[in-house]
Amino acid sequence: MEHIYEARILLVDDQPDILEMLKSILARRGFRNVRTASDCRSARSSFDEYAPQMVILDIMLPDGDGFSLMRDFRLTSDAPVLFLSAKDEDNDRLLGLGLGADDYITKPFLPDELILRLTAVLKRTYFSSFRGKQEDDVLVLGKRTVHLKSGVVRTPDGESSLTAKELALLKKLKENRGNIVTFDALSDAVWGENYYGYENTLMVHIRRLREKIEENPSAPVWLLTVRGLGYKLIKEKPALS
Amino acid sequence: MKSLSRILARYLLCAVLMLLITLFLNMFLYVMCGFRLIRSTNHSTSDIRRISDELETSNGNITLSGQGYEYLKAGYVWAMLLSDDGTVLWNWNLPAGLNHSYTVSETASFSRWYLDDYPVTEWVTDQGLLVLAQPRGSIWKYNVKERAEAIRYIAWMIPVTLFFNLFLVFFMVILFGLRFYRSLRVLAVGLEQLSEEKTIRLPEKGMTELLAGQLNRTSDILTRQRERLAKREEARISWINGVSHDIRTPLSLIMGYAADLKEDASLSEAQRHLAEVMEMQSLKIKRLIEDLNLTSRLEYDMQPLRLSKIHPAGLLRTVVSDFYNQGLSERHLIDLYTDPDVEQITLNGDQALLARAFSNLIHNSIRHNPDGCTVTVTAYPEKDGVCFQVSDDGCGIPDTVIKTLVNELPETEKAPHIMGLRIVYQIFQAHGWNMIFSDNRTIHILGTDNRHG
Repeated sequence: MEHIYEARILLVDDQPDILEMLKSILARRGFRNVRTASDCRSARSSFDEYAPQMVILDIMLPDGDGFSLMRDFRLTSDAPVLFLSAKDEDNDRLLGLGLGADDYITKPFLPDELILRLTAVLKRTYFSSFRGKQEDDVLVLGKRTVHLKSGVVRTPDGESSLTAKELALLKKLKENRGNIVTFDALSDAVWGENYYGYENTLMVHIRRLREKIEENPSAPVWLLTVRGLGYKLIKEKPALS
Repeated sequence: MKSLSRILARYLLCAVLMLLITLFLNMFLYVMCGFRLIRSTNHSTSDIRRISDELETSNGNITLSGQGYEYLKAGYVWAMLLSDDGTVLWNWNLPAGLNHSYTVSETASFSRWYLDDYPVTEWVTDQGLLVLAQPRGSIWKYNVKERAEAIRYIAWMIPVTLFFNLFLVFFMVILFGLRFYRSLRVLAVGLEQLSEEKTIRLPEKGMTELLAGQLNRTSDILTRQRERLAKREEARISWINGVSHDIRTPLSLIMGYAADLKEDASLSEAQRHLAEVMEMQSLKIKRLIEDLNLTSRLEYDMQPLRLSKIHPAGLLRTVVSDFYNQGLSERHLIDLYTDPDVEQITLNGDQALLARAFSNLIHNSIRHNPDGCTVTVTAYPEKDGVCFQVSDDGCGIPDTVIKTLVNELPETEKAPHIMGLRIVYQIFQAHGWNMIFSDNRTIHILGTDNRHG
């Protein structure tokens, strides 16, 4: 498989309408290889025949349940499984994820959400090493480039190194780029502890990080403070850079 | 069962007390009567001595002084003085049949028993034997003669008998107490089981037959009521679950196709806008279903709290950040202030449910103020935990909503729909936290460390 859109997907749901709609949504988003099954028996035979690379599975099926179907699939294949079910109780969700499902979405769902989660699972399963090299390792912040693997910040004037804690902070902020990351989440990422007690230390690390990634650390444009909540790594290219 | 032992102990104590009171009362009465009898006997002895002192002999004639007659009239019906040979030397009111001389054997006889049925008392004087008679039937005379050994035996037997009687009575009290305890124990076990909502069937016999019967009938009524209630609750829950489950598939289809139509370039902008409205409304229905499920689970204690140590300040930061991260309109602002001391506090709670509760409160402020408002969330330390405050400068919560929520108004068809707020209320209640409306724009929540859930 060279691209996620080439993935062979098996849809299992007892409602023909849902199957038809899912097929249409996936087709519109570029997923060409989709097969459907409306019960356990046909799902098993499709699985053996088609060897899907991704399974979207309902839990309540006329001749069995999705949980045992997934157990059977896992005996012969490591294809990721995403549950799509009307059962929204925590116990079902925990059971599904506990059995090793890659995600759990409850009905009704937004098509965009389904596609995003499906894409994420496929990328994680089949393209994680490729992505790592191309996207995850380099962070471009205006004229500065941060190489996350080596922890080196390259500027037109030279380069500087990030400390382990600065790197951990930056990685956490990058994971949630464009969103506020609370003090607590940052402390947890760096120290694995509650925010309280690391309050001042966190501020010191952020200040030092700004000195390395910002043009003007006293007027930051990339790493912003959100008063009372946390910090935010700006997604879009700021106007000043 | 403890209370039953207490009842038995009190019963035994009462019985012993009653026994002792009766015993002492009897002893007191005997002593009093004995004292009075002794006093009256002594009195008659002193009378006869006083009368004999009033006898005078002058010129061979024996006379009694006036005072002597006074004493005689006070307690006697006749009197006589016998000489040593049995001749009557002097008499007073002596019946004619008795006015004769007496032999030694007659004298010995009446001195021990009666003289012509008159109880008589004798006194030896210088002049002879003074005999005084009291009215017939007024005195009971009996001479006791017993071996000294028997008297000693009786003196020893009295305390032994008394002790034996006491022991017997005490033994019987204990025996009846235990029997009573055994009968009551069955009832006590039955009552305990009733309080644990169990069905009971007590044996209807013995002294507690009637009570046991009544308890059995009460148990039957309670069981029937419980079954009816459970059936009704089950029907309601399964109805909610069923409806919410069955509605998910059609709603998925509506949402899916609405999303498709929204992005369909072949449609006009107005048509795409309508598709967007359909999608938004479907999302609302989705949230309503989730709320309906959660509120019914909370109401029937079917939502177990996943308790863990939570950090309230961090929880609030996450909730508020989520609003900003999900894209808060510029018309709305959420201000969060947490007291520095709150940073050190941890409470026991269900992180996800509490986040949902605070999120619902903020969401309510935003939803009911579409033209914009500032929501202020604060947290400061309280004696037993943390006091949270959520307020906004918007339109405020209507009085009817607050009254319906705190059950001051019945939930009728005309009552406002307050599911979102009800869930908040239920979540805090499940944690043992207190939610108070200080005015229409401010809600206070007192969060305490709930170790028991």
